[in-house]
Amino acid sequence: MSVTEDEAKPIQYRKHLRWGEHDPNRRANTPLGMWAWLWQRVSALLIVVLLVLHISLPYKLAIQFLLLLTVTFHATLGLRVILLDFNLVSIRHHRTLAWALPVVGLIAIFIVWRCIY
Amino acid sequence: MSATKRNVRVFRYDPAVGGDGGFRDYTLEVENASAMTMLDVLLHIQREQDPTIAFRFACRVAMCGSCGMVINGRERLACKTNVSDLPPSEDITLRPMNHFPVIKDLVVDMDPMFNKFRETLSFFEPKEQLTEPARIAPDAPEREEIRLATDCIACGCCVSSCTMVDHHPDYAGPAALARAYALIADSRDGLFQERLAAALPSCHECRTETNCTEVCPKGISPTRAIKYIQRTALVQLEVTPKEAEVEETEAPPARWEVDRATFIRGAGVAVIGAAVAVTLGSVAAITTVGPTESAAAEEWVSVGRIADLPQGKVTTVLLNYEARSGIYSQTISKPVMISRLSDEIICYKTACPHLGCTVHFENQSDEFRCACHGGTFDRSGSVIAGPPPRALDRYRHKIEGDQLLVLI
Amino acid sequence: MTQSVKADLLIVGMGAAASMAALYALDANPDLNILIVTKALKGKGGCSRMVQGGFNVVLHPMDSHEKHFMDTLKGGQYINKQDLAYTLVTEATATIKEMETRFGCFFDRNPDGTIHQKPFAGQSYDRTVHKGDLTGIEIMSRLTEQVIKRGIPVLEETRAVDLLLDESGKTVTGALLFDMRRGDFLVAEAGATLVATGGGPTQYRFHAPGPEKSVDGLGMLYRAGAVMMDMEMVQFHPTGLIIPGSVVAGALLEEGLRGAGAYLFNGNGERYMLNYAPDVAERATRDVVSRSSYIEMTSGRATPEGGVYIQASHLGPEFVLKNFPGMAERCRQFGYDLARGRVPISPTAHFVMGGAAVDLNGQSSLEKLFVAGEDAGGVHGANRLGGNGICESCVLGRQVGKALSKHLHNGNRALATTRKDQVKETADRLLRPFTRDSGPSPFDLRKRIKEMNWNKVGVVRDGPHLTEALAEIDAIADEASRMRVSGGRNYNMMYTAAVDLLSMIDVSRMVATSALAREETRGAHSRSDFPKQRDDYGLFNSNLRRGSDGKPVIEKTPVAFTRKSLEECQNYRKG
Repeated sequence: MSVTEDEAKPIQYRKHLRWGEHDPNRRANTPLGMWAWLWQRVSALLIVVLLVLHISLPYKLAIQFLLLLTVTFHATLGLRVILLDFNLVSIRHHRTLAWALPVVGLIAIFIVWRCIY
Repeated sequence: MSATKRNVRVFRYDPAVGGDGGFRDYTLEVENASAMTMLDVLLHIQREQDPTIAFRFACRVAMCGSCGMVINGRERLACKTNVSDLPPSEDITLRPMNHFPVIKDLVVDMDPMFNKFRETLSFFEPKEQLTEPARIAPDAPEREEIRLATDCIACGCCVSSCTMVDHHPDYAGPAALARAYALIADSRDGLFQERLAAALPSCHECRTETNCTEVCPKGISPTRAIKYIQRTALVQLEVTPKEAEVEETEAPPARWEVDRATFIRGAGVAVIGAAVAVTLGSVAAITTVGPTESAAAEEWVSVGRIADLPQGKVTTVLLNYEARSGIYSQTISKPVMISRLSDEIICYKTACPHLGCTVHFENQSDEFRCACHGGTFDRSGSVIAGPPPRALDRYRHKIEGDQLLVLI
Repeated sequence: MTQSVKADLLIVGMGAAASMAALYALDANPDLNILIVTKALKGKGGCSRMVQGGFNVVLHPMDSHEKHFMDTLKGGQYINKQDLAYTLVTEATATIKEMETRFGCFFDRNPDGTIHQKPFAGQSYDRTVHKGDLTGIEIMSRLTEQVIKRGIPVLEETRAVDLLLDESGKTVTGALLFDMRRGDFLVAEAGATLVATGGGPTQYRFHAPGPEKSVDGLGMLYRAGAVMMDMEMVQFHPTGLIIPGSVVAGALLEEGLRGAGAYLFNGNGERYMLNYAPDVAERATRDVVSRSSYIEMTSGRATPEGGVYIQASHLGPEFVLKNFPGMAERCRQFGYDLARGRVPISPTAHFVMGGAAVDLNGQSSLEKLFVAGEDAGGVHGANRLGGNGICESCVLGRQVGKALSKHLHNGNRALATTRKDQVKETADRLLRPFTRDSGPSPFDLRKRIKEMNWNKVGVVRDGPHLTEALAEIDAIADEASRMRVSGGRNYNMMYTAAVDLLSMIDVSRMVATSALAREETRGAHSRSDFPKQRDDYGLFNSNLRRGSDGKPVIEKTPVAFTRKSLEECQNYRKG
């Protein structure tokens, strides 16, 4: 047998794996920061929907409350990005920011709401 | 310690067969879970069950960054992860990293990442030709800033964990940006503006998911690096690119146009962001981004006496001057190569128009040379050889009395 | 047909020596067409990256090249090639400065901003430049970056399997490469070939270098017929971790632990170093501590893990955690508590002092063949000082790079013609393991040669065992010629192990042959049947080359005391 007869075939790389592809444990391991990003996007869509409802059905308390809640949630997650962008909070605390800011915001809004109504 | 049976799922892809690849299951007796790394798991399978399995490793002590892979849904180094680090209830699932072409099984081609390093100019280029190492105190702010980032082993875990890498082909990715950041903060480096311009557009792709920060086996935060580059660009990047000052008529390369547009967009977004932050009652520190838009003014700086410039020679002079930008001022030192032939004086920039490396004048050959890619220019600055797209850039100069001044 | 590539300069390996040579050769001669081939990924293979300690260099006015030179000779027990060692110490100063100013390395600083230098064993002045305890990462990352910047082509995961020679067998024409991804050969022909793969004595049970290393460079140099020197000198580091069943076993615990006052205990709980070196105990040099531990381990006083214990807890857990965080972390990963308990350790094969005989330009005994780094021999003599290893790679890599640019500039770029059938013969022979239906497994043979070397050509050697070892190496070589590899050709790790084994066999044979010929104990080479250093006998270098029957032929040449006399060496730092 000689080398030329048994020439190795050209190698075919597999296209790169995508995030989450063939990755059964990925979702359970998704870090909080990623969820923060995702939920901010989801809440943005929700705001659009609630705004439309709010304008078309004015003075519905439930819709107002939900809108306020969603806006607060969205804004606190935005605040997280701003704080990290300007290094006002060290990146070491990014996980804390991702849960604490929305929680604080929502509690505050809840209290404000209770004071008004 | 009694042996336990663990199910190990390994992603297999055979380049000779092609296709999509998929998991194959192996059962392994684990004697001592706390002293068995994933590398040992793979070696055991290879020696005892399936010699055709392929994975990559070299140093086995977390110094080379060859054995990055996705272990149970998270990027880790195989040599640094023990069986006991994973929940006993879970199967052990080993899979190649994302975003890199798969060569075989767990082995990926890491060239895409190395190419990104090149694109963001992530290599040191000395600002000036020194013979002695720079004197920098160990607790100097610049070193404190990048202390961790210099330990990067280029394992690619961050690149694999970042979802944005797959959506933006031009995105440099967290690894290259973390390196760019370390160089931008390094006062010894000479490509500050160029690198900032090359890295900034990529920084806008970051969505602050912090996945890279979570997975880095060396504790580096590329997220932080990206934010640093953006902040630095806000106050340091010249809005008007320096090419605009050049006397020559040649158009600057397209890259700059894009960068300028992106920069202004970026600045706009930042201003809105700052405004929101202020409304929310955030700290007054944010207001410091205010004077962003004021470009650094042009300034005539004295080079010295003309008589000191030897006739027929090219002299490199290091200019030290104070530059003001809004409320900021900083000391800048910038080299200028001054060619004096009879009465003709030309002041050249030292940055190669190709990728911005430093150009030196070689007396023997009477040519300017760039060490990076062999760009060569003649005495008038025109390209003789190599990749530079245009002639050497010049500074405008004038003569006042016996002094030579250049417009910086 | 086998594919081929041509270059002005072929560099085999991509550690510090190879990268420095490439950078300096190109910068001096920008139109040079360089090709780097590496068994690993860009800048990720090799031992340079694994350097923890640092880089010995004279920077302080109170220190001098003279002192560094004498320390190096003293460490090498006088059989160093003095001119080479002198180049090493004098050029080191400029090299480290250029690595900072040209390539962007940044080493740890003193409070005043100058480069910090720490103490290391065997040195008369604190001269080890470092970056924390990860100096290698800094050096290799920065050098790799510069290679990428200059666009020097690098063939990754492409290993050289043999050097190619012309008809006369005196001129090297390039190398036969094996692309591990495609699973096929590639012929690289060049005006000059630089072998800088690094050594990495992984042919022992415990070894500090990564298991991907396999003394390839030394093997191919020997097979090509280059003169090799002092191959009996294999350094064992005294403190390698024992981790039963793990590939991490043998990884180092840094020397600083012993320096700081850690104790060593045998299986009976005795501080045995007090018997071997009553004055300095654990602070004795690497060779002494390794030898003592080995004797304890083989005299029935081993710990249940088969080694000895190191204890640092009496220094205070806080002290240990603060000063050796990396080491504590490494122990913790395997369930050992360095700060509070005892950790099982063993001597571990660390460095090959021997290698190809080279001149100051790195030129070997063959035409157009250059060698740098651990593959080259002579500079460290019988024992290497801690911190002189990465120093050798960088400094001599730089020297060779400069020399190569001159050599190639002076009209020496022409390619020589490779002997007609060499490529086909070698490729056919090396591919046979794929075609067999049965045969020994390279994994098993590799394990066997590691055990054999550890027991018979290890830390302490003796005549009868070495003779046995040579016979056993022949037996393993015979089995290796019938090896079988299963699976396809693409990225076949079993095949990688098979090719690794062939280098290990050649190097083991060189080590055993040279060790048998040196009937004394000197530096890293200890013979229990000749336990004394014999300066009236042993001041020679063992030059070895491949004989016509494939076995090494040894020739002893007296040490050339070109710069310092024997008396000056012997009297240096005596008491």
